[in-house]
Amino acid sequence: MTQIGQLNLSAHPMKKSFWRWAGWFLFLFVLDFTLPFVFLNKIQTVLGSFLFWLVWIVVAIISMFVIFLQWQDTETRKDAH
Amino acid sequence: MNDTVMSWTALLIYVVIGIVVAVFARKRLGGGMNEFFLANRQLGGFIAALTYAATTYSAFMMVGLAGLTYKLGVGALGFELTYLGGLVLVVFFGPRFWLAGRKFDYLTHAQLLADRYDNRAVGIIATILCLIFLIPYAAIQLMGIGYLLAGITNGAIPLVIAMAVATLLAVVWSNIAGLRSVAWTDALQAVIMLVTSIVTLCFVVYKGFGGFGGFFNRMNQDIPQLLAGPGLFQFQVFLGLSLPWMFFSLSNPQVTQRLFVPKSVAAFKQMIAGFLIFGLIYTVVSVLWGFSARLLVPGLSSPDLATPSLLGLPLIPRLVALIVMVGILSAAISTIDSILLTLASMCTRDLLKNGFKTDLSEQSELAVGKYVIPVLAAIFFVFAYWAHGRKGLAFMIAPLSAAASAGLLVAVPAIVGAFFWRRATAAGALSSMIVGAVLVLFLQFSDYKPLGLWPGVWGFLVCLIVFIGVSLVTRAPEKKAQVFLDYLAETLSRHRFL
Repeated sequence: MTQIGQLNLSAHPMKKSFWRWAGWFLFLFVLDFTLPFVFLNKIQTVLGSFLFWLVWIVVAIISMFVIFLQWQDTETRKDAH
Repeated sequence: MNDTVMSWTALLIYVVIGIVVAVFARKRLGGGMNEFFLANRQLGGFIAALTYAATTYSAFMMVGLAGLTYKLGVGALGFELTYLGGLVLVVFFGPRFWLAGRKFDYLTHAQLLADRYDNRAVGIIATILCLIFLIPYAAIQLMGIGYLLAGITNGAIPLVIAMAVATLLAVVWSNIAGLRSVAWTDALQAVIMLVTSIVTLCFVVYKGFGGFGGFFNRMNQDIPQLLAGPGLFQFQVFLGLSLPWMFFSLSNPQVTQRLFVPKSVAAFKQMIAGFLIFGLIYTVVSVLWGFSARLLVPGLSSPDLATPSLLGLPLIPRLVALIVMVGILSAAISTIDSILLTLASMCTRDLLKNGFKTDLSEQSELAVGKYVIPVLAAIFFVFAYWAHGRKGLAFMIAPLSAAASAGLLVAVPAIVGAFFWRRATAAGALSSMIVGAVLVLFLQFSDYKPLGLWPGVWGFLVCLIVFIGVSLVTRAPEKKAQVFLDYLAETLSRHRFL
């Protein structure tokens, strides 16, 4: 493994889901930065980019909810300084 | 009731309610730095969500974003929602801040960086960056308040008086009970911001267009050019605006400090959920506000006049205009007092105590912090006062404010590296922040945009390369990295954090 590859995630049990979610959000941001510029130029109504960005953020927010709703409070007190 | 009396009455009611809330918050105030600046890391989810929202969303939303929509169209919605989508960074990094903050007793992100990289200069530079870029940003908020209040009240509340009242309120609300009073007044102001903006938008849409159906039809018919693709945004402009904002939740210290304060994981979840819902509604309302201005008052010489011009229309009753005024005032002051509190904590902890190794007891540190708050506020005010009257300073303050988010962005590689790269070094962090900040300032002041890309984009790319390159050829603080990262690896999974 190269030095640059020594990320802290290597021994992490949730590594796979971390990278899956990171990839999913990267995909969402690629859509965010490209779709309105490339494919929605011809739609001159609120059903074009306006609707796209609203749907986009709803999908992003739902994705975030799916992640953080799994968080739990176990042993929080024990970790408190 | 005439205009002057109505304006001052609205302002007075707002001030009195705010002070009552702040004094109420003081009842729960204990002693020490953590208590004053972090509410003893014991904020509930609901208040945490509202203070996060009020701190993040400034007067920019109903004035600047509405103006951007007015001028360039739907891309403004995309730009602001890109920021909101960027909150996924809080989902990835927030738990790490929260856990490390509790374990190692961090007060600010600069302290976290200095400790993680085992180098106090890192904390000093991170703090200086925040001072350079946030003081003009706060000053421009004051100027915005001054112009808006003087404009809406037709001079009944003079510009300088409005700025002075806002400065004083920010100091009082910060000092009464630190983060407790700021968080509770923020919560009140967040509710005011959201409710007033929704009520006023509905008022404009129903009075001006007969309802949302008529409003959208008018948008489709009258301003199709602002709805096609990204509207009139060029890609470079969209990228230049969006990139620094996408990382806002990691780069701005007044926001990262909020990641230390939820009292539990449940409170942390409520904070994120509440903020996402608030942000979505407030963003859509602000953008629709801009579109309604474009339809009702087209042809303005400056897009910044969109909101004042809309509020000056006969279809808007004076009372409604004054309610919006209070809403925008709330947005600005809630941002200023949070910046005040965060910068004060950085000046005392990261510059004075840890940076220059002064032997301060916690009591003295807190006392100094409380003195720093009015001093910083006075600097904000002086900046704003001089800039509003002198073209020379206005020339300086405008690019500095525009550079604020781009400038703070250069700390992001060091922050990401602290959590994810064992090999990251203090030299890498220092050089990336310094080189990045100098580059952003140079590009901003020279107005030079190589390949058409904005300063934030170049600053980010260059500081990322410098951070990685310098870290690879310098020595990492192995022991500290191990303690820090191993603790996180162990505890993250226990809470099912990513």
